[in-house]
Amino acid sequence: MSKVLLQIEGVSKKLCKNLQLSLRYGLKDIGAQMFGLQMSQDLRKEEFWALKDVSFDLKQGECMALLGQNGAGKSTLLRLISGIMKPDAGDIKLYGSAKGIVSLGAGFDQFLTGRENVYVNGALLGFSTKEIDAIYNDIVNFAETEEFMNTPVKYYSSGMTVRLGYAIAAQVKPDILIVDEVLAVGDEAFKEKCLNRIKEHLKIGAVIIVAHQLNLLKRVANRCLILEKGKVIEELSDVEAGIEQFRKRMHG
Amino acid sequence: MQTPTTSFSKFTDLSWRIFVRNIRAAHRKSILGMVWVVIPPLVNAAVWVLLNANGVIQFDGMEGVSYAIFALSGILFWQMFLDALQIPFNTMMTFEPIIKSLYFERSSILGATSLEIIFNAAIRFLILIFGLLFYEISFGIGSLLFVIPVLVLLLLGFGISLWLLPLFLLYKDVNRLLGFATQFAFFLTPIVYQLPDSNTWFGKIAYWNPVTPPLLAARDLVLLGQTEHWIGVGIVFLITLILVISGWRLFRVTCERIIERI
Repeated sequence: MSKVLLQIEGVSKKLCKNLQLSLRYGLKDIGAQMFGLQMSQDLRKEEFWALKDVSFDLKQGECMALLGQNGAGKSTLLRLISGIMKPDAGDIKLYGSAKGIVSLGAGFDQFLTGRENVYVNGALLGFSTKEIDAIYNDIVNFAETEEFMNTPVKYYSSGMTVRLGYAIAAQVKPDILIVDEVLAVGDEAFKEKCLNRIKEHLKIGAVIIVAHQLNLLKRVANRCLILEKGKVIEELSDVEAGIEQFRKRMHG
Repeated sequence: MQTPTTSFSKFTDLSWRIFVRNIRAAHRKSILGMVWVVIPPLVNAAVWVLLNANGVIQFDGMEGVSYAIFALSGILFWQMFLDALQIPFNTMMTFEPIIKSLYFERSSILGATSLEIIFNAAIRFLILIFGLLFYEISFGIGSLLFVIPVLVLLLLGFGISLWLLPLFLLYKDVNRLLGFATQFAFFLTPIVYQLPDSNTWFGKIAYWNPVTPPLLAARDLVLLGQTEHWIGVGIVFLITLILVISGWRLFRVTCERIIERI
C-alpha cells in the first residue's frame, strides 16, 4: 500500500472578476482575519468559484495530469496545493512537502547571473547554501547552461530560463513535484529529459502535471482529473480515455 | 493545512540570501552604486547650510557645533528612518511576482528587509563619521549610546511600514500618499532646525512627533555626548515594540490573502 501524500477535501476558492471590488474585498477579508472572524462563504458581487468542491488524494508513485481549458482552475489548484493561496473552504492535507514552480524562472532576477540566481532560487525552495553547493553541478548539467552561468539571466533565451528554472525545481526532490507547463518550452531532447526525470521522481514521490501537449501526458501520467469551470467533472485512472474524453468536450 | 517546516537557521539563511540578492540587483545596473546613498544627504545638507548662511534659518547653536554638522547629522538620522519605512515596500514590490509563483517562508522577506535597513543605516553612519572628523567633533564613549535611539528610530519606521504594507500592496495611492507625507513630515520634525518652543502649535507638533525624541537623542549623543530625551526615547520604544510585533503578525496572517488580490 503506497503512502497518501496529499488529501484534498471539498476545496473551494473564490476569485473576483473586478479589480476594484477585489481589492475592497481583500481589505475586508484582512480585517476579518485579523479579528479572527469567519469569512463569508457566499459569493459577493462579481465573484465566481474558480474551484468548487474539489476532492481527491494523491499517493506515492502517482502522476496526476490536470486537464482543462484555460480558466478551468488548474493553476488555482496548483497554487493552493503549493501554499501560495489559501482555500476559502475545504481542507488541504499535505503529508510531506509540495514544491514546484507555478511559473518557471519567476524567481530569477534579470540582472543577476545564472549562478547567483541558482543560489537565490534554491534558497527560496528551501535549500541551504551548503546543500546548493552539493547539487549545483547536477542543476547546471541538467539545464545544459554551463557556458552561461556567469551571464545575466536577462540574456538567456526563454528556453534556457525555463530549463534552468526546472532544473532547480527538479533537484529539490519534494514529496510532490508540481510541473506546470514545462513541456511547452524546450526542445525535444529536453522534453525527453523532463519526462525521464518525472518517471524517476515517481519512485520517491508523486507528481502533479499540467500540460497542453496531451500526447506527452500519456507517457507519464497514470491518473487524470478533468476540470471544467472550477469543478471536477471526471477522475480517471485510464489517462488515454481521459484525454479522449477531454478532447471530445473541447471540440463540443 | 500545510505547515512548512522551516527551522530558524533556514529562515536566517534565506533572509541573508534575499538580502544579498537585493543589494546586488540594486547596484548591478549602476556605475556609481553606493555613491547614490552618499550624495543626496550631502546635497540636502548643503542647501540648508546655504539657507543658514543667508540668515533664512536661525541656529543659536549648540556649544562648539556648527550648523553644517547639525543639519547633516539630522538629515542622516532622518534618512535612516525613511529607509526603515521604505525598504519593506520596495522589497515587497520586487518580490511580488516571486511570491505569486513560489511558496517559501514569507517572513524571510521581512528578515531580509531588516538586514537591508541596518546595512543602509551603517552606510549613512559612515558618512556621519567623515562629517564628525571633518568638523573635529570629539566622539567619546558616552556618544556610543546613540546606537539605542537609532535602533528605536529604525524600529519605528519598520513598524509603521509593516502596518501600512497590506494597504500599500492593495492600493497604489498609499505609495503616493507616503511620498507626500514624508516630505511634509521632514518639515514638521526638528531635523534642520532646533526643537521650537513647546508653547507654539508648531512646537507642539514637533514635541508630539514620535520621530522627534529618538532623532534628537541620537544627534545629541553624537554631537554632545549626552541627551535629555531618554524618557521620550523610552516611550517611543514601547509604542514601537507593539507596532513591530503586531505588524509582523499582521503580515504573516494576511500575506496570502493579499497576494491573491494583487
